[in-house]
Amino acid sequence: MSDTVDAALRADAPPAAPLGGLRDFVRRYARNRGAVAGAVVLFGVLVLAATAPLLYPASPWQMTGAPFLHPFSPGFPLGTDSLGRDIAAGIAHGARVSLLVGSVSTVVAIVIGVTLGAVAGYHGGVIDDAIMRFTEFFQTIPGFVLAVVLVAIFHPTITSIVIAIGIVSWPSVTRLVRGQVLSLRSREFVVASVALGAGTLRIIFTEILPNTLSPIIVLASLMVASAILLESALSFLGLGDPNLMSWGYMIGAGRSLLRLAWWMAVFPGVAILLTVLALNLVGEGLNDALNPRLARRR
Amino acid sequence: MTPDPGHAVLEVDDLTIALPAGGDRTHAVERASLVLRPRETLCVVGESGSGKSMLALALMGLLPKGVTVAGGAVRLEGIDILKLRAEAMRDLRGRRIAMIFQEPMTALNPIMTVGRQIAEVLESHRDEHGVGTGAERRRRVLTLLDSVGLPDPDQLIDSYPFRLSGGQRQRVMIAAALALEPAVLIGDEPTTALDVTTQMQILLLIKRLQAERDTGVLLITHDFGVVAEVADRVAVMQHGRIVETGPVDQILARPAHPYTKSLIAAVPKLAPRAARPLGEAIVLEAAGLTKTYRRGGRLFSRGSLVKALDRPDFRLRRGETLGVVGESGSGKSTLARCLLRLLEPEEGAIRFAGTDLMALGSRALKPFRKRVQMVFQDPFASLNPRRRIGDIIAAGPRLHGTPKHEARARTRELLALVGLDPAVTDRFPHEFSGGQRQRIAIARALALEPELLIADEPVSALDVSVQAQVLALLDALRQRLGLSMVFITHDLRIAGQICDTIAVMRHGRIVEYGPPDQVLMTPQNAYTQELVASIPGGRR
Repeated sequence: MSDTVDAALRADAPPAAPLGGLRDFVRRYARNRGAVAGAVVLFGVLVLAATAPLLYPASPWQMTGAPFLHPFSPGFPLGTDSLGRDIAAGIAHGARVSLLVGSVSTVVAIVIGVTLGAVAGYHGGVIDDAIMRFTEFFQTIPGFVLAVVLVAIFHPTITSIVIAIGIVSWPSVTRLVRGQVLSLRSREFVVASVALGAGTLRIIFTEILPNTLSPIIVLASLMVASAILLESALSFLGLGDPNLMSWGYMIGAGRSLLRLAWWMAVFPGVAILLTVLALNLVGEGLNDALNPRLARRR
Repeated sequence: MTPDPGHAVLEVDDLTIALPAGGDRTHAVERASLVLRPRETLCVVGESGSGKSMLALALMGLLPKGVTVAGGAVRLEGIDILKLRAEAMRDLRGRRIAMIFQEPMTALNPIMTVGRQIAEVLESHRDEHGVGTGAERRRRVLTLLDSVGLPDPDQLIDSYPFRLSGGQRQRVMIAAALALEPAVLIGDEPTTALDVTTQMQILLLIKRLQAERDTGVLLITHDFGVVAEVADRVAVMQHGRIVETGPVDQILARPAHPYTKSLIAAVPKLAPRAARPLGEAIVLEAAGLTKTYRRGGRLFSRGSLVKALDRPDFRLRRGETLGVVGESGSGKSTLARCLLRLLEPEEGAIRFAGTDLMALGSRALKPFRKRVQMVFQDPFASLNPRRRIGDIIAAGPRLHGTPKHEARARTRELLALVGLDPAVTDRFPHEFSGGQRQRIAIARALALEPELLIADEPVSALDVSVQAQVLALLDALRQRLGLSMVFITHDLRIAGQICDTIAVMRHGRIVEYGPPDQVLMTPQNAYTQELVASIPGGRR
């Protein structure tokens, strides 16, 4: 007997260290060319937003040149609008607004969505039913219309826009997190944690949520993109923050002059297109990098 | 035993299968040679990762993408099938060579009737066998269903797979595989997912059909019990190589290769342990526990009630190991989870050291969580993939207020105790093998210094050699720490080896209860007798 005991207690060495966490992640991400291009463009937009006050210290609302200057005019690479404001300055400052609204409203939506989704998925039963019916209630209202109504009620400021976009975009997070939590809740490692005597909050935060992280990150990157689109659409309709220059507002202002001065609407439109496309590519790349098993099948 | 190619129905000659670059092995199978004759059963035995399943898939021409044959030949009735075009291979598949898979639950299409799935085989090879009209095919399917011993073929032919039990589905798979009377039948662990009694029936069925049709059967298995039951000849695989081949009697009685020897030595024997003296103190008592599940049933239908627990009363003495054995659905896992109150029984009492756990709320229960711990079946599911080993093991002590540095020191001690390097605390679970993970799970359970350990099939997901190590570890720890244990298993041989008392469960009740030599050697209950008789290899 003691022979087997010793044999059983003897150490068997674990396999040699594999997977270097971050490096491996970067390698898998880089395998998707589009995602790398997206990251480069997104980085460019970030730099533009960060350096806007240095590049264009004057307010983008200020008239700096003659009206209707064509693109590539001296000093105004993207031309000027009907009041002689610099389009390039507007795009640089608009990038700040777009990224700010996109990221903050996504954080708002994630916080609401993860909280409700985790509670619904973990507790199940009546609580789950109540939360999901509430969620579906929001999903039945077209998101954009709800955002318009909310902004109109609260007066258009950057805060109310962020909150409005957050409120219309959380339901998808809730559904995702609920589904994940529901399937993780009955896993043995969660049951083991219950058996150790862990409380509900600790189980949700240390055992369950870390395992839902990768789909949430992917969803978040796509939500930033749709938040930017929503903000642009609100500004286009004149529901943007009147004190802040934004891409949507610029398109809205240039819309009636499209035949006279196409560059007023086209350049901000291109900025939106590139940023949203970049975010979508990044989202896809993150998905590949975080779920290597699914990516390899392509 | 010289191979006679003239009579061989299947010949594998120097076959090498290459794995995609970047894995931990370059070849799944290396230079394997085998010969299979009509009416013969050849068992290919090996542990997980030995390449035995890849070998089977190569014979069917069904290797997954990226895995390629790098050399050698496979001759089916004289034709080298590796050189065939996809079209020609498809024609042979099902007609001359057929396969049954491990998982009967997923191998059948859930939205197609049983009859359609078998008829499909006949349809796709219509020209050859001339089973033209629908009515003719239906008659053939009925005959097939009858021949694999399925009850009431007339009704079954139009049922959907979800109405069938695992054993019945496997019979349907066999009927489909044998529909065109192939010369070779390959079974990849065809009975592993089944209960022992069902396993025995399926093995006997394959034997009978084989004798009727002169089929050559190649059976892939990890279980030497199955080998002893059905094999004529045996090939043992390790790391992609066939290390030993020979007639079954020779391999089992006089294995030549050290790996074969170690495998056979690790197979649990039906040898009840000697009785040990036990104290009188009762640690745990279950009285009148009931738990009912509702099966099916949606908004407007009630569904049927299944009694998972029906008063399985027992008493566990201090230091005793109680083996709870039974087939799937007998309620043994429900019992384990109810004892820990991970599931709520409807009524009854769980008295642990004199306190009725059923009467406690979740806060009052917390001190008892420390004293009763559980080890789960699947070490791949029971460790959180996102947490480090050190955190996983220290989680329990930290929850119950042990300071951080103390919990860390304890973690290192525990890792050493279960036979792992204490330096591995910073690693994640995916860096460990199944056996190592189960050691980690055991360390986690022991971290709280429990008095009672409930182990739910702790070794059934592991290879035999690893199984033996983990069992020896549990036994050693029990001796060293004076643990009482409830050990849940479907394997009577394992229960006999490490338990002081065995409780046989069926339909949520304990049908037989007693010391191992009595339960295993002179079973009184009819069901226990059937279980003991179904132990694979038991007759040798």
